[in-house]
Amino acid sequence: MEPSLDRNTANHSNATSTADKKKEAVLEACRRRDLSALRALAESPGGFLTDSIRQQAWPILLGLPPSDIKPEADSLSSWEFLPRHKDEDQVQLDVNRAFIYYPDNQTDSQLAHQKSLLSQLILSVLRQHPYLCYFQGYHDIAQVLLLVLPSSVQLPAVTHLSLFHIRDFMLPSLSPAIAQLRLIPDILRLSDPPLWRHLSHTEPFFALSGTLTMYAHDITSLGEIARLFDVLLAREPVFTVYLFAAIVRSRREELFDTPPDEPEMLHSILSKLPVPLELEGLIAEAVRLQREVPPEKLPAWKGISRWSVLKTSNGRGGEENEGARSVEQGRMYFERQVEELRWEKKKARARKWVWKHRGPARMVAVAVLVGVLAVWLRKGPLPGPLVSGLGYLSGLLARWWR
Amino acid sequence: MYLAEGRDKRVKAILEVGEWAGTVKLVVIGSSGVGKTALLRLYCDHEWDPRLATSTIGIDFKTKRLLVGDQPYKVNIFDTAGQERFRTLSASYYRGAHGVILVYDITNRKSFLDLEGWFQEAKTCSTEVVVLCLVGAKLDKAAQGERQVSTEEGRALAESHGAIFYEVSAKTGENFREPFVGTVQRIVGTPGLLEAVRRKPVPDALRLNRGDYYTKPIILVSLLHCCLSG
Repeated sequence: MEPSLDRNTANHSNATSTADKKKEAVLEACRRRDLSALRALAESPGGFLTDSIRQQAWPILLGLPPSDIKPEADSLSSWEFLPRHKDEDQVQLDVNRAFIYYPDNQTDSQLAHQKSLLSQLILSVLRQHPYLCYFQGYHDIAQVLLLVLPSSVQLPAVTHLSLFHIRDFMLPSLSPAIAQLRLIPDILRLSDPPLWRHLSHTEPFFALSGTLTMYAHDITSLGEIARLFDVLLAREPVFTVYLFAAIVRSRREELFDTPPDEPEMLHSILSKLPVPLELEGLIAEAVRLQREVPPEKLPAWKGISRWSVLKTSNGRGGEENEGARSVEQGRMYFERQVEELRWEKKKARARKWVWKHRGPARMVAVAVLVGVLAVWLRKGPLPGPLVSGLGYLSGLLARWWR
Repeated sequence: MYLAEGRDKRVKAILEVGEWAGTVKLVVIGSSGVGKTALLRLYCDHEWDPRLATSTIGIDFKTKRLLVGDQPYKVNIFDTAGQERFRTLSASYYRGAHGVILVYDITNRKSFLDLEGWFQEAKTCSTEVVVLCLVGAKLDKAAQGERQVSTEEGRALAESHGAIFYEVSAKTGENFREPFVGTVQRIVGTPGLLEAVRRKPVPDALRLNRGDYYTKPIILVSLLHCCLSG
């Protein structure tokens, strides 16, 4: 009996010392603001292990300037005097439905207090950055930061998260979010063609709540979502998409049991996370997938705006800024993308108009072409092959136009 | 036409074989927080727990077996998010829908006023023959004097749009089956509706933009090819 007891104790103390060593390593990386070391630690099993370490590491990963991390920062002041944000009613509706799964054992008055804190936190971000659009699910993300971080850094943390991780989802339109989802089929196509074929009739909208909310809407344990946030904050924003691809792949068998021509059923399976959720394995698999098929290899990557968080996440302040990112920078990217969306909308409207009037438009185009050719020909004879080539080209264009 | 929900054994056997007389597709829409998900969860999963009420992100899907007469139907129900920004997405799920259930909260006047927009969406996004059903939810709160929309108003609006009308409560369970059963019954009873919807192409406006990066290179390459070979 005794030897085994001894071994147990030894194992136990081994485990403790490994955990202690890791804690020390995370804290040391925090002191040096060493992002790549933090990233490696976040990917390894257990992530940052405890909330007290997360309180050190997350602000750094989020790129908060050291001045914002001071405990006395009076972060929530004066938001009440700013003008109302257009989405405040929606925020209220969602905050009323927050704190469903955690924290445990709350009395009604504690719950009401938490909800009022959450509402204050979200409203102060939105009022200070009125250009951001609130989306349902944002409250799930804010809730995690509220429960893990000390109150003094909550506001800058949620602000930085909004601007550098989920900025695309806070634009006036949902299309940049959809563009991100389109990466998932591409990852599958390159890493698992049979599964991709099986899902080819299913739109990737099943991944919407997972990616949009950084899984905070779907993971029902605070410990698990906090551990997942370690790695989501440490890596580029595109990692959420790879993680979803890893989740899809982990459910191959279940998916193959459902016929490919039942997209509703497939959607239904994939829109809920598997239970139990093997987070560590999935994180490792997502890391592997991203290495195997990097974003640049995915055709849908071209559909992502150059101002998207996915394409601007490398622009960290560098050594001299100790990895800090400025809010102005995020806002600039946001506004560029709004501009781009406005332009896209105009283009779509024009395309629609042309399509609606394609008969007359085609005639005008042919007339202009003939006119140009006529003028050109009057200037002097053109070499024969060029004329016939042009004729062929215009014929082809007309056929394509139809 | 009588209706049962798998209560006797024969019925259950038919339902379990998984052979359907048809698949009916319903979409549930309405403003945020009116109780779409609660109603659906009660109907499909026999659950009602206000503590578990979360917002729907994007789109959710549930399925239910239902007998109409002695014919088993599979009912696929799409639950949509109430927030405006998700509407572009739910629009794509109207494709092939046979019925639309519009929900408002009888204790929230605004959710009733929003219905004009929801009816508009239901009509532009689906076929002309689609069956509409208007549902006033949270009927239990009427007893506490919280009602802001009268039954008559609700019924009048429904009639003006040719929709079926119910007031329901997920909390007490009052009428909770009727909107689904009534809608499916009317769909099945409308000759040709189940077949017609299946063949209807998606309206162009509803296609989600997949980006031009697939088509542009194809056109360029084919042009080049033609020029060179011509």
